[in-house]
Amino acid sequence: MGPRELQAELKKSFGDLINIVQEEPDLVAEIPASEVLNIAGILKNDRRFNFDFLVSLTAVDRRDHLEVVYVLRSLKERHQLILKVKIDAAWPEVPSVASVWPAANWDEREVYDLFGIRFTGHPNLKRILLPDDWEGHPLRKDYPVDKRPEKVF
Amino acid sequence: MITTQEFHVNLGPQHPSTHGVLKLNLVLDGEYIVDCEPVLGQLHRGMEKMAEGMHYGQFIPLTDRLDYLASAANNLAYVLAVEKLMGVEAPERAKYIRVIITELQRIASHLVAIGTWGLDLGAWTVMLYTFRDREMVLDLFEMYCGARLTLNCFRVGGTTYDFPPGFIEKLKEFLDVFPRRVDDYEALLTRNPIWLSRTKDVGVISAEDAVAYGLTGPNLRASGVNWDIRRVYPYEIYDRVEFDVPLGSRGDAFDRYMVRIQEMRQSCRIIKQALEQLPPGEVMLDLPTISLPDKRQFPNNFPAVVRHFHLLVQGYAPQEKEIYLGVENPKGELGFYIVSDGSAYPYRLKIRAPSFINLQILPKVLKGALLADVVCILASLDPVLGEVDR
Amino acid sequence: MALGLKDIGLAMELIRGIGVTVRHFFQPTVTIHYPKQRREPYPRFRGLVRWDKEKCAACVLCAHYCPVKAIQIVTGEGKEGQKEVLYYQIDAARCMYCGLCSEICPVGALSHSPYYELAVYERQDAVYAQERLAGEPPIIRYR
Ligand code: SF4
Ligand code: SF4
Repeated sequence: MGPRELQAELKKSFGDLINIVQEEPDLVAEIPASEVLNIAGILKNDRRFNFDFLVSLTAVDRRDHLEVVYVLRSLKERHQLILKVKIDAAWPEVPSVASVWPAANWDEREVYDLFGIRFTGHPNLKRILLPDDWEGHPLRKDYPVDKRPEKVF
Repeated sequence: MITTQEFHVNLGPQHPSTHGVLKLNLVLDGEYIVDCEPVLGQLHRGMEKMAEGMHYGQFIPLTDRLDYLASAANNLAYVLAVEKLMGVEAPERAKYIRVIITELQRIASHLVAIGTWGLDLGAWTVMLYTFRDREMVLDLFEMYCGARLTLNCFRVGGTTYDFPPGFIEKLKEFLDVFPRRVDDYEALLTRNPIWLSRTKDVGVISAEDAVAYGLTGPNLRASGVNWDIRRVYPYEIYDRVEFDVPLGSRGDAFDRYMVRIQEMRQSCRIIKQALEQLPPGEVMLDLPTISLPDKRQFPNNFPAVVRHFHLLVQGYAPQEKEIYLGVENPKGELGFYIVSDGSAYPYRLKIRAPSFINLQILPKVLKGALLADVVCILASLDPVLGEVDR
Repeated sequence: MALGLKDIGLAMELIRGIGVTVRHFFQPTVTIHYPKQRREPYPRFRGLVRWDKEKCAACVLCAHYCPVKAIQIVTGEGKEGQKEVLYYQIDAARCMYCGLCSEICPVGALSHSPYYELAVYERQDAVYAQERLAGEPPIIRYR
């Protein structure tokens, strides 16, 4: 499916739940945090979408809120979609999609590690790149670049 | 009464067969592995945070340090992502040069993969031969851009250098001898009974698992999934050259080895065709917004001087956009997700590192495997820790 | 235990592999004896960065652009009121030989030299400043 048809198909299936925020050069859509698991399941299993491959899962700190970003791909239909979820910076929590795409497991741990976003229902949510007792979440915009840990490893 | 208990073994981080600072916490029941937990992050340098404080052009040498065995391929992925963000395209000749250099890089990377894998399993000779031939590739790189490992040779909008005189002859010489060298490795390994018994039916990954766990590159293709970004979303000139996508059938370590061997032959084929088609012309885009002016006009051409300083101090700012671009690296799909807020610095730059995601399947594959096979399975996935930890 | 056809096949494969090794005995050597023989780098080789005081225009672009901030410059005013470099240093231990500085220097004052044996005993010796930035670096050679 080309991006045009994909966009039309998404609108048809999800209506107001999905909000297209960018069309060129990549199709970017936004969904509410409460619907993540639901929509992810449909996107993966529905014949029309068939997003069987999670390319990447990451987050962006937009200062007033956080965004979790899913880059999805269908190996069969060869289309690609960037899905975004807006979440509150004060209570950063979003359902884990590791049950839908097992590939999300380590990516979610990385996002938890570097952004402090908690993924509810994740099988093993702990830090992956930084040591377990690290303070703060470095990829947040309020974390200074030149901050050094007090403890030297 | 004999009591049994599970046994914990730490493999790494300072272990030659983990190919870097990877630590595996293994739980053993006798010789069999019950559980495995990879511990990452010893090489974490915070590249994504560093990128947020750098111009788009300044980050290119740091991408060398992701998958340091395939630095040119990383450069290409990053440069293409920024070009997509800026909406520009490199000149034709630059595209060919980029493809030739990245395919050489793929050969070099696979040579290390196979050589060290052989070394891990006791086939010492293969390592000597592959490293000898990799040296020829590195010599070519040194001739082309002056560096052997961390090339830093591509720029947004083209490449830094054109081929120097004598390069193409030397490259042709390499292309002539290399297929015979691959025959040599095959003579040493492909039907060697020891190699076969160490790799056949070891670390089997089914096609469904490979897709579900997000495997890419030779690891995915060895499971029989026909997915090569060079074929599916052709970038640069890959739609103008003919090449096959080697596939495995069972998804075991041997298939991953075979895919890599055949990919080296295909890379040779691609380079040969690219050399034939290589057009004359410029290697750098002449676009005032991104490319540096010709230094020979300095200091008489004052506007050029101003542009030079403006580009380097202020940088160039893409529009407010977000893009994802993945390219086929030797290890798998290296992708860059870049969010731009309209300033000269990336607002967020996420590196989708293939080795990081490929390693994820390790605990699943290792479960029930023999301790002696851990080294083989790990080497067959071919992770590079510079990329895993970023 | 009699040898079956299969065992003979396996043995043949091993012999084929040994054949490759034996063939390599009669090929020219590709290695060099490093401290006694040295390989000439290619003309574009990116070795230790060298700085030409005469050419430098004191624009500080290199220090600004270097991704790892390996260059430090102190500028001041010369006798005729022109901008002048008072102090210039490159920390070779920080430098990653990326070639960006020599690429962007507008007057070509920076260049890569072919020197690559840069190991020193003290970390301080890896910092090249002022006069030590031109000519051949004091290389501690293996004897
Ligand atoms: S960029 Fe060149 S001219 Fe400018 S300060 Fe550096 S060395 Fe001197
Ligand atoms: S070569 Fe690169 S790292 Fe070294 S001083 Fe120049 S810009 Fe800095």
